[in-house]
Amino acid sequence: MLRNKSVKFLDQALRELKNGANIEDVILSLPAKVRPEIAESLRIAESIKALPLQSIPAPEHRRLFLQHTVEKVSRFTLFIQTMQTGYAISAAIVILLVAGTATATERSLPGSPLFGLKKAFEVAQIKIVAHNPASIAQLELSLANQRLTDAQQVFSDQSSNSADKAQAVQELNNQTQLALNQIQQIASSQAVAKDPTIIQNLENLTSKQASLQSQVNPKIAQSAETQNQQALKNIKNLVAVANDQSGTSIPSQKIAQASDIITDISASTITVGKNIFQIDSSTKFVAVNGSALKLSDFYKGDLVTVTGTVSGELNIAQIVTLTKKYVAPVTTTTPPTPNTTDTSTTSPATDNNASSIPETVNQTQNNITGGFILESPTQ
Amino acid sequence: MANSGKNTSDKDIAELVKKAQDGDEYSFSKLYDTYFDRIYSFIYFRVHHKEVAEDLTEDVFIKAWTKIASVNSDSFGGWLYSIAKNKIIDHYRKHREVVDLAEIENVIEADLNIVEEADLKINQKLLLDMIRELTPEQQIIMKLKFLEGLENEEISELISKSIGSIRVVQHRAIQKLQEKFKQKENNLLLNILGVNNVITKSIKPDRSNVKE
Repeated sequence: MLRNKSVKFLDQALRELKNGANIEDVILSLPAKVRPEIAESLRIAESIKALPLQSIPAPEHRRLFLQHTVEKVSRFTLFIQTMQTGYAISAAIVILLVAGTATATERSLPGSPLFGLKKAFEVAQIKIVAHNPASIAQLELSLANQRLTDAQQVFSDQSSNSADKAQAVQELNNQTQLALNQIQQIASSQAVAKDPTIIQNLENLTSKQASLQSQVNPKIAQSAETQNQQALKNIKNLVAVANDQSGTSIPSQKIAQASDIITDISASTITVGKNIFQIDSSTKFVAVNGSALKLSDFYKGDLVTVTGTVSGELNIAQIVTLTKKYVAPVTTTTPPTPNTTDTSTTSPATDNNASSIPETVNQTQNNITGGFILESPTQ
Repeated sequence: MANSGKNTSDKDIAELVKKAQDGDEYSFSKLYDTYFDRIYSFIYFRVHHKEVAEDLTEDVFIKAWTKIASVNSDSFGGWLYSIAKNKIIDHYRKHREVVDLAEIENVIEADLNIVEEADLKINQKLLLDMIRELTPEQQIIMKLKFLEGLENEEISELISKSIGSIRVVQHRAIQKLQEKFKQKENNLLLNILGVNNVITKSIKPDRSNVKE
C-alpha cells in the first residue's frame, strides 16, 4: 500500500517540478511518511536531468505542411479545370506528376513550372503570420534572401538563358521591395533596433541584388539601387531614433506613429485622426501586404498606419500603410473626397488639441465611420 | 494528457487540435511551433544528422496535418512522437539492405546522448554508470522522461505501455539508482577509510628502537 502511495506521490512531485515548482516546496508539501524517500528520489531525478546532453544544431522551421495544403488545393483546382475542358486523362497524369513534389517545389527556380506553386506556398506562410507585422517583416526578408539564392543559382546555371535571368532578377527585386517596405513599417520598434543583423542582412541583400541586376540591365540597376539606398537610409534613421530612445517602449517625441482613418489628404500632407504628417519624396505608400501604392490610391476614410519622424514642429511621414479601404455607406450620397485639397496647417502627432481639427473634417469623419466598422488601432 | 508546450496548457493544446481538425491552418501552425523543437530533438538524437532530422520532422508534421482528423485531441503529443518513431524506423529501413526491427529500436533507444564522458564531473560519471546498470526498459524510460523531457502519456504512446506501468518502472528505476548510489557511496567511504588506514600505518613512527 505504502509502495503504491510512493509511486503516486513520486509521479505527482515530478510533475510539479516539471511545471516549475521549487524542489524544497514540493518536498515540504509531501506527507511526512513518504517525505524522506521521495525527497531522495527527487534529488536523483534532478541529477539525471542535469546530465549534459550532446548539443543539437538549431533547426530551420520550414512549415512544409502548408505547402502540402497549397498543393492539395492546387491539385484540386487543376483537376476541376482540366475536367471542365474534358482532358481527364491528362489531368490524371498531371496529378500524378504534381503529387509528392513538396521538396521539388521548395527547390524550384524562377522559370520552372513549380515556381508558381512555391510562391503560393509563401503567400500561405505570410497569411499564417499576418497578425504580427514583425513576423511578416522577418518572413519577407527571409523570402527575399531565398529569392537571392534562387537568382544566384539561375545565374550560375550555364543552361539559363537571358529571359530566365531577367525573371530571376525581377522576382528578387519585387521581393526585396516587399521586405524593405515591411521593415520600414516596423523600423521604429525595439525588435529591429535591438537586432543589428536585420540591417546587415538588408545591406547584404541589396548590394548582391544590385550586382545581379547590373548583369541584366545596368541602367535599371542604378535607379533600383538609388531607391533601395533611400529606403535603407529611412530604415536606419528610424532605427537610430528608436535606439536613442531605448528604455521607452513607446516613442513619444522623435518617432511619430498613428493608426486611424484619413481625415484629410493632399499632395503635401496627410491627416490621420488628429495627427498631421508632411509628405515628401521619401514617403512610401504601401498596402498591408507590403506591395507598393501611390498617394492617389489613398482617400479620406481609409484606415491607415503612418510611421514617421518628428522634425521640429513637423511630423514627416516615412511610410503610410493602407490597413483598410474606405467603403462608402449605401445610404450616403457624398463620395469620399479624393486627395485634391491642400492644407498648410501642420502639427506634431502628439498634439491632441481637438480644436485644431477643422470642422469639416469632423463632419466627414462621422459620415465615414458609418461605412464600416472601425478596427481598434494597431500599436 | 501531456503538457508538452513550453507555455501552452493541456487545455490550449486540446483546443488547438480541435480547431486544426476543423481545417484551421493557424491553429496547426501554433501546434507546430509548440512541438517542433521537441520532435526535432527526439529525431536528431536518433539519426545524428541535422538535415535528415529537419526533413523527418517536417514529414512528421505533414503526416500529422493530413491525419489530424484521426487523433484524439487529448493525446496529440504522444501521437506526434509515435509518428516520429515510425519515420525514424522508415529512415533506417530505407538506408539498410537487411533490416532487423529489434536492431533499429536498439539503435534509436540505447544511446543516452550524453556529452563526452571526459567532460562529466565525477558524480555525473558515477550516475551515468549506474543508469547503464538498469534494465533496458528502465533505461529507456529514464532517458525519455528525464533526458528528453517526455511526459508519461507520451512515453506510453511511444513504447505501448500503460501509464500506470510507466509510473511503476520509473519509481523502481529511481529506487534502484538510490540503492546503487548508497552502495557506491559506502564503497567509496570504505575505500577512503581503507586508504586512510594504509596512510596512517605508513606514517606511524617506528618506535621499535625507542627505549621506554
